[in-house]
Amino acid sequence: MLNRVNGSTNFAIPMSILIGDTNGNGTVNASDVSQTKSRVGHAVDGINFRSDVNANGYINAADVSIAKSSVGTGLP
Amino acid sequence: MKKTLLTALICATTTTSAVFAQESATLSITGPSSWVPGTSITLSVQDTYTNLGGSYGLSYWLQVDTTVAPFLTITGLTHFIWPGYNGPFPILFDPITGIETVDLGGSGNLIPDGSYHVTDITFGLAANAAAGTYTLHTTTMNPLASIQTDHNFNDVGIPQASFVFNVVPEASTLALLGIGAVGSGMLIYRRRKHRGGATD
Repeated sequence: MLNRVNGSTNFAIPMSILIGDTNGNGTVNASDVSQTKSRVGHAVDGINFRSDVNANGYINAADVSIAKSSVGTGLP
Repeated sequence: MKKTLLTALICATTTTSAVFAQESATLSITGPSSWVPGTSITLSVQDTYTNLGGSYGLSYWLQVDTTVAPFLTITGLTHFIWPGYNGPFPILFDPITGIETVDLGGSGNLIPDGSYHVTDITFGLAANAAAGTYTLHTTTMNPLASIQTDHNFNDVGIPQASFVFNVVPEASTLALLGIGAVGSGMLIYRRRKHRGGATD
């Protein structure tokens, strides 16, 4: 949160995206795959939204497949 | 009064130890330690985890000495607890890093804390693999850190598990080498003897 910021100074805010990292810990592995599996069929909400890996509004087998295919990837 | 206090103390100690119980997971790899070039070898992987509240699965990768990596492949996987990778095979080991390219673990239902035979891994060793002693071990560095998934889908790191194996030539190959050595020895002996006789 930025409060009382005035002026025109530029600053960088780092942002990382890691497809399939449904628990948000910076790596994709069995934890993300099993979490996505456990959420299949659930309505997407503010807690499980990361498991909607393809961001189509549903959590289904496609999301599990994408998470599986991303296993072994991580943020630097 | 003393008895009540003692009981309360025991209860508090038990509760505290339960709350702060350390999550842990280990893998052990077992199987034959002598490997003959040109054959298949199967290793078993045992997974033991405690205080996780059950597990939904695990991820692990194997790394081997780079000298033998080009001659080693994974030709089959049997998963006993959680479904996992089932092909295509063979899985290759990277000749530069010595790490194979597939998560050998699996994921699925919540399985209670315990010790389980999770996987059988079948390896193919090329006929031209050099004799020597090599080590297979699980990976521990991100993003290929081997982990167990706890009941909250958190990662619990699995310490490195190792398996040492010896690549030994087949008995018949050894016999052929022996015959060759004896033959060469005899030839050299006869030549020397012949040469010695000629100078006399």
